[in-house]
Amino acid sequence: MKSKHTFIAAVEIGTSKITVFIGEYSGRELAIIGRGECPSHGIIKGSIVDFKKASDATQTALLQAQNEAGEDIDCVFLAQSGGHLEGFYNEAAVNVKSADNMISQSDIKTVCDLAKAKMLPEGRSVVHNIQRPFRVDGRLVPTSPEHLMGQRLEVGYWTVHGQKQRIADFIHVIGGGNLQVREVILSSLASGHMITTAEERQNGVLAIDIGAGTTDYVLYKDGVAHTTGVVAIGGAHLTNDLSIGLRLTTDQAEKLKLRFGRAVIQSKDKADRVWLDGNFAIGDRQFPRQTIEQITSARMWELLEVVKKKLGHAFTPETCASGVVLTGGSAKLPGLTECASKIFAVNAHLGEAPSWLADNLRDPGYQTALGLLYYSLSGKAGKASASSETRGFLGTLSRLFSNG
Amino acid sequence: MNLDDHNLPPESSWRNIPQAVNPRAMSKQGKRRRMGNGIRIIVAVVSLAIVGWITWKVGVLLQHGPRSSTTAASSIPIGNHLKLSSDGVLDNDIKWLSRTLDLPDDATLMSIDLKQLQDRVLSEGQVASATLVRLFPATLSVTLSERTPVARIMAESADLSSKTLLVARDGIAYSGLDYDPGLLNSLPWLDGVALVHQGSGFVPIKGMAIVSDLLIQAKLWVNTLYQTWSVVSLSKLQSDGIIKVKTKEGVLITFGTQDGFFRQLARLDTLMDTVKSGTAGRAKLHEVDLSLGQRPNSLQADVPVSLIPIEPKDGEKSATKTTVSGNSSKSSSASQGKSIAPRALTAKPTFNIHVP
Repeated sequence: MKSKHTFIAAVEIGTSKITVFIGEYSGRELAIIGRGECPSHGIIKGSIVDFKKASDATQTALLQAQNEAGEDIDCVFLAQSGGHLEGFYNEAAVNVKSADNMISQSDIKTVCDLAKAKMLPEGRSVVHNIQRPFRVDGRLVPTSPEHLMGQRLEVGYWTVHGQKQRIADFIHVIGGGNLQVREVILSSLASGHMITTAEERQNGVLAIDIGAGTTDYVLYKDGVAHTTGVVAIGGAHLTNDLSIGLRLTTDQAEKLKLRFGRAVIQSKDKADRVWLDGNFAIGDRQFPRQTIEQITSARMWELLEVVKKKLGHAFTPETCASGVVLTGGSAKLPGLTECASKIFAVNAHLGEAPSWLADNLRDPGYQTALGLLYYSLSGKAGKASASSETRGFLGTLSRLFSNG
Repeated sequence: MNLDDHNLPPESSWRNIPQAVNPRAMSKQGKRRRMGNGIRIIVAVVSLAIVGWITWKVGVLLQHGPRSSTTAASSIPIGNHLKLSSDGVLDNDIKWLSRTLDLPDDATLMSIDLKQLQDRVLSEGQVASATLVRLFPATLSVTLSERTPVARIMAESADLSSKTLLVARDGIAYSGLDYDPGLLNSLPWLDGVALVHQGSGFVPIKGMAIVSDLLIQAKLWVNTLYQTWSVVSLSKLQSDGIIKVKTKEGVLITFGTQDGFFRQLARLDTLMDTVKSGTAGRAKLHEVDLSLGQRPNSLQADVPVSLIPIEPKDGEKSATKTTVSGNSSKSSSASQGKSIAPRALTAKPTFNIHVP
């Protein structure tokens, strides 16, 4: 019954690379059958600045994945990032209409509509309306409050919105391949669900995805995404700082960052110098290791400080018991967890890919695209609890990757 | 969070962003996918149309019942629902067909006997073959293949009245229908054959295939001479293998069946041209015998001809006899050429009809 299957492409158009995964959704389970990857062009800090180059690169990755899958793509789930994305919280409360104080579906709909009714500035489009748990007379209700007794029903929404034109650019890059975007999903939500467990989300956890051009973060509380955000700083800024500070080309700076960059300064010896290439070729130079570490750590500290500042009162060590989980291509920078622990004053660790995931998919840079497939599965499967979603998804992918 | 919880105000959602892209901005892959989608749509539309048409046809069939065709065929009289097509002059001659079939007024497609009707059509000698087909609900279709006349013959019926018949290549004699009178008048008469009755027709005339070859080739290659042929005699065809032709001017031409007709016709044409040009002197051609054929060394033999003198004008000598051979001709005495006594062929042939 191959014809009943849906072939979903999860596309992450990042600043440094474009990643595509193709999943075959059979109605019950999802199998990853194709992967495409291509260096990114025409994208700066998560925004498209050259449509043609970005389109060509994206179509190359899509074609690569499609050829590997051997199937035509039916729809696309697209990751959305960029400094233009912002969020705000809005809540509403209603008095329960029923004389016996039993909450009805009508009460729930009314309070939800009111909470989402806030107008956006001109030129902005909503990407997500993330619902926080209901409260009935101040009592937290993580699921539906229907048929519960109470006088006052409250709910809040974290609304993520972005510049309409920038979102349209991403959609049109996909449309250039005559493909339909089924869902636009915040990158931080996609990767956050991959690197955190339901238990961590329930206890409170901050997931930070440090990419090349942007850093996406999501703070989970009570099992749901509480606050999200994007900082237009990423690993590319570290490279740029090294390039300027040490007067190197971008490629040379990138090479130094990967080999000697650290989020915390470890070197104590100012005389400790490292070779640029290390092959003793003509043009090879030496640089102070401590200087390299100072530059990279300074920028990384600054980045995490910005994240903490943007979180504001939403983040407190007490409400984030599960600490900070780091992922993304730049999360491989040594000392990052130590750096994050000092800044956020909580435990920090690198996000680990699930054990059942194949080795070639465990790279932190793939977590966003894999998370998109997760959302495609949850969207198809309909409403389900967080725990059952995870179990179902893990079970599905476990079967998939255990087969090869 | 669940995707179903979005429930966004329609005016502010990213879903309101149009996803359609100008085809010029599309990648090659996109254009290929677009073309593929177009083809799929066309195939789907065509498939739906076919399925719809089949459904409609089945619906109509079921509406009128599965036995509707045969029921209608057994209840609707054929009447004038006759369709005739032919490769000859009878094409669309419905009146003749109706007269020949002689169907009862209440005859229906299911009540008629096609074999019997076919025999009726074939009883007309002009018809070589006939195919009868029932076209439901009430049309009878007849497709004919007709004989082509090559000569005509005068027959004498039992009441001693004479009747002109046409003869086809296969020797069948029949009274023709719908032919152009000009065409019939151009056909030569047959002589020296006896028509024998057989049923409502006649026994096929033997040797007509050979005679037909001669006539057809003459019409094709020497049409001017053919137009002058009046009577073709088959009296010596079976015994001596010769065909005698009498022209309207009274010249008797003998063709042999052993040699090719084309060569004989060529020689005749040359001979006639020679005579007409007057190189043979003032004489009228009386008889030509082309049946002697060739010499063993394949050289052409002299054609024996017989000339009769023409009444001399004042002051002119009369030519007695001339032998014409090949392309040359010379005046000579009677002893120099062979003379073949002309056989008497009447201008209007008479025939004996034997009734077995």
